[in-house]
Amino acid sequence: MHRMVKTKLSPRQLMILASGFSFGTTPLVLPSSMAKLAGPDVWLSILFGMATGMLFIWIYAKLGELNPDKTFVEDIKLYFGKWAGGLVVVLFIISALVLTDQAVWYMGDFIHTEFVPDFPVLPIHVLFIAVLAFALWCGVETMYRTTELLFAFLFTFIIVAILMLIPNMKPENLLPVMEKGVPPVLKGSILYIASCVLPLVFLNMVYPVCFENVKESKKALFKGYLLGAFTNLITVTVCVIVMGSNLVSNIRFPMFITSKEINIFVIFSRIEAVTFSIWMSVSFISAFSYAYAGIFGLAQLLKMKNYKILVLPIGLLLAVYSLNIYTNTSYQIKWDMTVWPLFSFTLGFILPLVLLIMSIIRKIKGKNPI
Amino acid sequence: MVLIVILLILGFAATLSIVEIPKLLRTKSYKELCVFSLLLALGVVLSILKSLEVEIGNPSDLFAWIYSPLEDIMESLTKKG
Amino acid sequence: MKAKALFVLLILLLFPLLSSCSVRELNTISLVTALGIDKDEAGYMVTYQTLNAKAVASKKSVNESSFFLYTEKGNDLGEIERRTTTQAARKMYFEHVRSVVIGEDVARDGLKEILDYLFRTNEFRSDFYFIIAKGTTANQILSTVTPIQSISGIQLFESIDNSKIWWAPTNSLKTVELINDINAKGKSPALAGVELYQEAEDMATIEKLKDSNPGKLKLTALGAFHNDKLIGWLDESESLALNSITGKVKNSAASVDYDENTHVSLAIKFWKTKIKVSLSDGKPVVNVILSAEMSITTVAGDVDFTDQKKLNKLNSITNKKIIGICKKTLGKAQNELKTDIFGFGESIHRAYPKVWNKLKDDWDTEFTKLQVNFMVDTIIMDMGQNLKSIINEEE
Repeated sequence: MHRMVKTKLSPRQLMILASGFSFGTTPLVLPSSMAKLAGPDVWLSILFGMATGMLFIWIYAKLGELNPDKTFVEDIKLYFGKWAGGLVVVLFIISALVLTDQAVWYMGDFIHTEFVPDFPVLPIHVLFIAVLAFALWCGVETMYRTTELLFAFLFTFIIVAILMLIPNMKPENLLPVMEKGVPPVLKGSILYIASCVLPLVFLNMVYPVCFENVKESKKALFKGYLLGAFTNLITVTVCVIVMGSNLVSNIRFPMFITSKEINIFVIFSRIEAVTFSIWMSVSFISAFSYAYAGIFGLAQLLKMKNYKILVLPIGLLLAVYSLNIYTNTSYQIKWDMTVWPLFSFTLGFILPLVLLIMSIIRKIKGKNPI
Repeated sequence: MVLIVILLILGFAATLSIVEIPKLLRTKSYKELCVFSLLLALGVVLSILKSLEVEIGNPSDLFAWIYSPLEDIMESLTKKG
Repeated sequence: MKAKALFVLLILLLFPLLSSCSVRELNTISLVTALGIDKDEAGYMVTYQTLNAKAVASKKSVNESSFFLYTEKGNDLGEIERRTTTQAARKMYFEHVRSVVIGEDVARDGLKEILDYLFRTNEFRSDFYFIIAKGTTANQILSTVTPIQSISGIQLFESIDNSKIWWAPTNSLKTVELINDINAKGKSPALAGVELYQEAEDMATIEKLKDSNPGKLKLTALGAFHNDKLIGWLDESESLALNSITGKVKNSAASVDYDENTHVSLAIKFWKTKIKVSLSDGKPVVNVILSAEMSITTVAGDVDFTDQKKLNKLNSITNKKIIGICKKTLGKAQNELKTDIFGFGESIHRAYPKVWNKLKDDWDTEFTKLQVNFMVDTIIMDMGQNLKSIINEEE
């Protein structure tokens, strides 16, 4: 079996990366869309989404377990054949790169709106992509080790920021519970699953292949997902508790605005730059995961010896498209609400499910050769 | 301004080629060379077009088009409340 | 190794781009400490109170005012802000604004546009207070040089912060709370007012600080809003009732007549409010339970309050008085102002959402019919340093 990956990662690194990825896709923007759909019941949505998400994670984990020396792209090629598989892989790669660009765009848009409105976004994008390219060039191991280091500081900051918001919390913002019944909660859950659970399918490019102990890494995937989901729960709920769901659904960066409210003893105030650094690191983890999936997938599709050669040309393409991957803000909001759930469900549910079923069939057939 | 950007991009592409192509030729990895040159050329062309403000399309539109039949359902599903 | 060096070089080459970022040096911005918004034929007249760093921060005493005002007129706030650059040497920096004073006429028209501007742009933070200028224009308020803290914008902020804790009738709202109150169908906000006190001729100069009793700014009781429009003013006791019902009182003072000859002053501490909603015949009934600890600060009379019975009687007189004030305020809000400034609608919303659903569209009229019960439970904990009145006629 053609195996160009000789990287070795530890399950704990997978756990940390999975949590960062799950938290990092849209932490700054997610509270506002969820508050719009679910109102004050966002915490119920996330809890429900967390529970349902376990099913999806189980699909990814099982798929990896049944094909322990293949990445996701290799699975597609194996089960779908040369031509159909090739087409699906191409779509997968394009999706991965589009999602990377979207992560870059979110970053640039945030900096542009909040910090430097009169500065063009392109240099910001280019800087971000340059660092991304460097991380990709250094390889998965380096990135995962960096994530381990980042994690300690990220998690502490998040907890500290939330503790400092306690004086501003108004628990009555969570009432009334389920005012309009169950449907809004479900809608919120769907959005949550689409944004924070299904992207984890991209980790299947890394997950079974780079680990020696597949069982341990399976557990790590679950643990990482739960940790990320829990962080999501806390941040979104805190946004709503401090600001009220009406206001949260109306603003673009709820987590950032909420952290502007921190004001303890006058000394600990105006520290929203900390939130920004948390978000930038997490966004970087997410962009890296997507980009690695895309570039590595392309290299595997074309049966190349080394994916590193492709990093810079694709980086250039990313930079070019990052400017109008979302034409403008209203396009972004519309795309995120209408196309994204369908898109992530196809990639993150239907595709892995089909592959899983085929893997199981193959395993059964393999045991009883007819 | 536009000229500077185009020059920068060409400079970047040239530097990259100078560094990478001899390496690839030495190891006789022709497939890699092909893919690399193709992608780089694509990137350079697109970025020059972009700086001349020519429309180069939006990949997100591709996916919006794929899922367009279901767009109305999604809109009604994701209405407030 | 060569490739790594190349990477680093590429990234370093991008750094000069950062210098063209909109970085603002301290000597290119002017710090705005307060904003005043008045009405004008053109739309708005905005007064920017900017800090004069020379007067505030230099070691030698400079004979200049510690702040300067820039006034500009225009159609909307964003345009006015930019137009100010025709007068001011530097661009305004709004992250240190401490108070926004809104003229009464603007407040009566509605705060929607102002709030949208202040919240949408990234130049303002959300930790300043909104104040209504009562009986005068915001321009006048901001041009006053105040004693001790000569910048009136900062003085108003600190005054509200202090009187929030020590004198219950004053309170004001910051941006997030104000927006939430305006948006909520079941609550309308109430903002503090400020007026000129001991008006003098030269209140806008530092010359007047040579006088030991200069004219000052004084915070008045609250102005009641209906959604985002100012509709009326409450007086002191009504503001006290409002703040205690909404749970914002920490310390305050009250004075009660024990009997015809005795007058007792009390200090109120640790005020707690509980609002419980119950249903009776499908209609909501609001029960407000106030509890506080009090201590006696003055006894003007001969009554000896070490006697438990007399203390209990004083307790019940105080309770009755507080209930009286609350009922009076409720009456004013229901009958005269017709606006729910207490937030009872929101309490009903939280407790019985289905009932609220039926009432919310017409809450203004429903509120006037709302039945509210008050229960006050106070304990007089201590009496200060004396037992009886210190001046007593010993036989």
